[in-house]
Amino acid sequence: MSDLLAQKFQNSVDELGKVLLGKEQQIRLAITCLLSGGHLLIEDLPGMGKTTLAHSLARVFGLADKRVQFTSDMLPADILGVSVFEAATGQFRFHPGPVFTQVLLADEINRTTPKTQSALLEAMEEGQVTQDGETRVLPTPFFVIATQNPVTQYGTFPLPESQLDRFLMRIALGYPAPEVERRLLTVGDTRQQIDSLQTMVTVQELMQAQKVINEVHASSSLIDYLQRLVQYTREGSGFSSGVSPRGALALLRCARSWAWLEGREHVVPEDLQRVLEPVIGHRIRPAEDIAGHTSTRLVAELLSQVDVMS
Amino acid sequence: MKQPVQQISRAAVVWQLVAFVAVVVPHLIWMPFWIPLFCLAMIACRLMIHSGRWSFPHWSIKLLLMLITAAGLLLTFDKQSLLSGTVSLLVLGLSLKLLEIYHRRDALVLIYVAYFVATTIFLFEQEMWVALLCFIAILLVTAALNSVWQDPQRIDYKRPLVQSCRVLFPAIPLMLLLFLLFPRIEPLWSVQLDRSAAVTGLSDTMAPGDISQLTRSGAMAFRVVFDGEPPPPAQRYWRAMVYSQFDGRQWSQASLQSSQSAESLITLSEPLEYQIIQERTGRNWMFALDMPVSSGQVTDGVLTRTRTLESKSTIESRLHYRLQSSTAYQLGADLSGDERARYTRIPASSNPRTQALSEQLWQDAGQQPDRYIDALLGLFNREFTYTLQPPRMEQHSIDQFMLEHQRGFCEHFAGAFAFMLRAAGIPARVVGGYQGGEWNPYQGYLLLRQYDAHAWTEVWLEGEGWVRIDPTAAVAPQRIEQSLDSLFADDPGFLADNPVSALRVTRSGVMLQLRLYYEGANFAWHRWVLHYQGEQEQLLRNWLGELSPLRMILALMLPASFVLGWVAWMQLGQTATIRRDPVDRALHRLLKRLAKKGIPRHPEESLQAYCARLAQERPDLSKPLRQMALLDEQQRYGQNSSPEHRRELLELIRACHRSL
Amino acid sequence: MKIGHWTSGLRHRIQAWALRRSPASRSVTLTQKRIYILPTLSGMMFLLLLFLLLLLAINYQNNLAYAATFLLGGMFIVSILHTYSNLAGLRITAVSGHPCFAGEMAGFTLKLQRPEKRVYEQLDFSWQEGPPLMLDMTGDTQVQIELACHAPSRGWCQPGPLRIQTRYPFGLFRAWTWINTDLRALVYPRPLPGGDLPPVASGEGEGLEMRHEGSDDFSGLTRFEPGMSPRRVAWKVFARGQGMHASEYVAHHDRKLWLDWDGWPALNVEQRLSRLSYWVVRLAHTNQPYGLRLPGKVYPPATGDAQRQRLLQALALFRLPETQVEAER
Repeated sequence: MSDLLAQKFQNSVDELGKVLLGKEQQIRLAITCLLSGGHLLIEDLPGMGKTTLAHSLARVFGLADKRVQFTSDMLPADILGVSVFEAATGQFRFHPGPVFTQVLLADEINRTTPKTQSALLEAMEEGQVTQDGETRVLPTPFFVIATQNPVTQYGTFPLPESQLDRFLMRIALGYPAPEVERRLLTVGDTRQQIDSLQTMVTVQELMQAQKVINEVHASSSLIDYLQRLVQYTREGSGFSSGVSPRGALALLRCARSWAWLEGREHVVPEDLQRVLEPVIGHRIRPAEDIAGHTSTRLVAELLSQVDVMS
Repeated sequence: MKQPVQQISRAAVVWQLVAFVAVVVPHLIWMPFWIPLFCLAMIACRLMIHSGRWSFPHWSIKLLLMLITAAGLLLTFDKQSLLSGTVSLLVLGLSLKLLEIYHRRDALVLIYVAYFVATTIFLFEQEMWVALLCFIAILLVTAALNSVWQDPQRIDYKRPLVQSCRVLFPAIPLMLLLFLLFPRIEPLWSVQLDRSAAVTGLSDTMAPGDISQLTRSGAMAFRVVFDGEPPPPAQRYWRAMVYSQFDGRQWSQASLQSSQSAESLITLSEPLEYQIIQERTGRNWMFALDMPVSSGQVTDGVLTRTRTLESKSTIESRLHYRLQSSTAYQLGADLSGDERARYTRIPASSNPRTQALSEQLWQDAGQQPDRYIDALLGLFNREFTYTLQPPRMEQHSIDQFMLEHQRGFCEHFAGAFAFMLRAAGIPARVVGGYQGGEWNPYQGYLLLRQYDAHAWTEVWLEGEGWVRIDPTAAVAPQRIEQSLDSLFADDPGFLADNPVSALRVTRSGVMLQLRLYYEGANFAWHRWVLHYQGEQEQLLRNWLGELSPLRMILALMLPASFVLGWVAWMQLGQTATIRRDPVDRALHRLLKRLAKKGIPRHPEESLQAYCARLAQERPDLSKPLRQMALLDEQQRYGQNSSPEHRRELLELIRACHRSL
Repeated sequence: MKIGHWTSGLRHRIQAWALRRSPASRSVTLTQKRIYILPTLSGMMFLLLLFLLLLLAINYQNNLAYAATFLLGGMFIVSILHTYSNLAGLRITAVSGHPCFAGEMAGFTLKLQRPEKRVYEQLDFSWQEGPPLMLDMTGDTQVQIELACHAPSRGWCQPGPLRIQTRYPFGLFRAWTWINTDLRALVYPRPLPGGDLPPVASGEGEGLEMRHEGSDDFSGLTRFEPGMSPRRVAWKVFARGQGMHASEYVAHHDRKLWLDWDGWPALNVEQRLSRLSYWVVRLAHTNQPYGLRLPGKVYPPATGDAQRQRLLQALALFRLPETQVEAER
């Protein structure tokens, strides 16, 4: 039963691979994030296929999706919805915003003002929207795929650090490998193929999988390793702030999902290592006085310093 | 380096009080009653301060208290009791210091002095239970010391005691080592112990009734350890002094010039070697089995003319000495004219009726000394009774004894016998000492109590010298064969001074065994602990052979380093991580071996990834490696690990190791 | 005086020797290579007590007094091990240093770990220039402490060797160790209050730009309530038939402030840095972007914590000797 379910998810990886050529790793991470019930932040330059990934994902999982292109003049109401006075009834009526969907693709989230950003992030965190004193619950599953341009780009409002960890993972897509790019160039734009993607998993199956994943076994040796990793980020000299307990939990959850997706009933260190950078990359901060430390380098250091076996 | 003033915790204050009480308690056995009362008052004051009801006293109150204690000390102690005065001063000083302890420095002063006071109890009493009390006191003082160094904010009453035990119990083997090996040095300057009340025992003179008084006491007189077999009971005559003068009523020692050499002695048997542990007497004499060959190894003992041993100074503490004695001997073959005169002298007018009786018997015996002696002993045997409670005798006591009461104790018989010999012109003298003794089978020693005191007679016979004749043996031979307590057990006079004495109820059965056992332990304590200096050399020679500084140092260092090593291991042993799991251990070894072969595992590599890499480098091993990785993954990260799997994994690891 | 000088010189030499034996590292486990142990003053007093007891035993020929003396002597020896083990096995990790202003105390975070079965009591941690910290480690196997060190002047505060010592359990011995940590903390110039913000040099196009009206950003709509200015009604929305709404505006005071090195010509270098430091701290409390111009370096205006830290760091390290700035890279 569980194997069957895992197989379905496995198939959906292949299905997505038809559109996103040579990006299996990122597809897996995105599905892992979805399985873990968290939100995904894709950080990359424009034109790298961020939007394609989001659309295809919604399609393959049979989820209703909406896309919001964030701009600097956008207001919170444009996302959450607005209460409008109706002359006929003499009452205000709530017009739900695009956030009321199952998959929300928040494109270029760092183009909008902090105020709008935090309106979305709060909705993500709480799974509900509160406006005009009324609380409205968002549909389940609720999965946000936000994309953002690298912070160094001009005209951006970087997401506040305190809110970055609302995203379970942060991934980058990266340039395609030469042979993949060649195929891309010869075959043509794959974006038209999104419509031809088949729905592989139903919403019910997705919810069921999320439950099953909680039972994936994480042995004490594995927890020890996780603790050593987390501990290192808290005291290593390159880190100015380490992984919070919430981050550690997220790490374990993602490792479980990854292991399940790989068809295992227990987590092995490699699962943890695969999801490590996406999960903690945006949660750690390099120490200020050491120039040129990126989170990628820090994670690499972390992996090479912490022994898998005690 | 400036040290900030350190407060001590509340628990530490309580521990100071406990330490103080523990130190003072053993001293209660000798202290004047007002000192413990004063201490109690001070403790009460400190408790009131501790609970916050009172505040720390004003300096004027402290001054007043100091004046009171000073006055009390001056009134209580004189020059003779310098030691007890000093210790009392320290105890009172401690009790006053109690009022002040607040800072670490004060507490340290109190604790260090408390250590000293705890040790001084041994100058007053050295029994086993005192040593135990003192050990407890040191334990508690050490706990107090630890409490002072604890976190001032922390209130933990138990931990100091735990720490104290953890340091003192390992110190015990070190103490034993040092005790055994440390050379005992002569006193650097002379010191005086306090004199206390007189003890029961023999006296310089012997009047009728004197020795029977001693049977009222079960106190220990001395103990003897023989190197070989002990002599039979009939020969256990312990010579203390010779009474050679008779004034008509009492016998006394002659004042002899000490320059005179001892009477000549010809030994007729192999001498016995033995050691005597003599209790304090407050007198000069010492004890020797009839007949001491020489003064032996007694440091300040002198062999007198009459072959008794005398110490140059009075015996104020327990004394140990070794002697040699011969039970078959010929003593004083020649008798000078002076001596013959002295040993036949009796006051002309004393005991006229006995003198007359002697004259008559002497004539009946045909003026033959041996027949005369036989006649006298026969007379005692026929007509006389041996009793603990002889009737009172007035003037001419021998007359009364011989002709009226005819009942008496050993001193009556010995005195009368010697008198009658002298009356017949035969040299005779009375010997005072002890006879018999109780054999302790557990520790192999002979114990003589005060009720074993005895008097007998020595007669000088031509060609034979001084011969021991015990007239008591003629009256009551069992007195010589058995011990006195079995003879007079039911006599009301026996042990009258100790009406509840344990000796009364422990004459037989289990109780006797227990008593002997306890006394044996006590004896061992006295011999091996309190008088260890007497045994040290012999003991160390037996163990170490020839004594050299090198050997002594080795004998000290080797066991000491063993003890310290053990303590260090107990303290630090847990630091090293010991891989207890055999699989882990084997795996660790295998990985080490592989690292040496130049294929080390990277830290971020799990065993599975490592095995996969390894399998490429060593295709020959790829199968067992892959199997091992699989099994290890199941063990380490999977849910189903079973003992069989573990065994299998262990086998695989070893197989890999072997095939490398 | 001379002797005091000599002993302190000796102490420094011993310390230097000890530190050479144990090079700096981030994490250190205390072992016998690093731990030194000597009797304390009260340990010496204890030895005196032992000597007195020995005299007592010798003069009174009292074997039990000998025994008591030897027991206490044994305790003295065993307590060496106890004091030593109250330090050995402890693992110290230098975690981080926290910035402060000159004249304050810089805090350094250290992590202490103990083996599971061992406890440590009354550990005394201190930098050479700083208050000691007493600590018991009996509960958690791992604790973090913050140890302060005087930071008299701006720049990097390197606290020197860390001393850990203990006299527990009986105060007879002192075990201690020195550890070189590579910790350092940034010390900002001590803020010097006073002065006005200097007038901004005009003509550069940047500087004080005050736009009261027309520049405020539109931020959202709220329900129109009676009494609101009719000028705020969002007529476009009303025209779409979505009801009466009022527009909300956020006032973005785009006053870009510049702190300039040349603003206080009367002050010397350190005073200027202190004055600038004061203004950075003050401006960090407002929401206005501010920038800094130092000779040879310009930091564009911005807001937030990062800006504050960046500017303070620039002030702290301004014109420091080569070695100190090297350390920055």
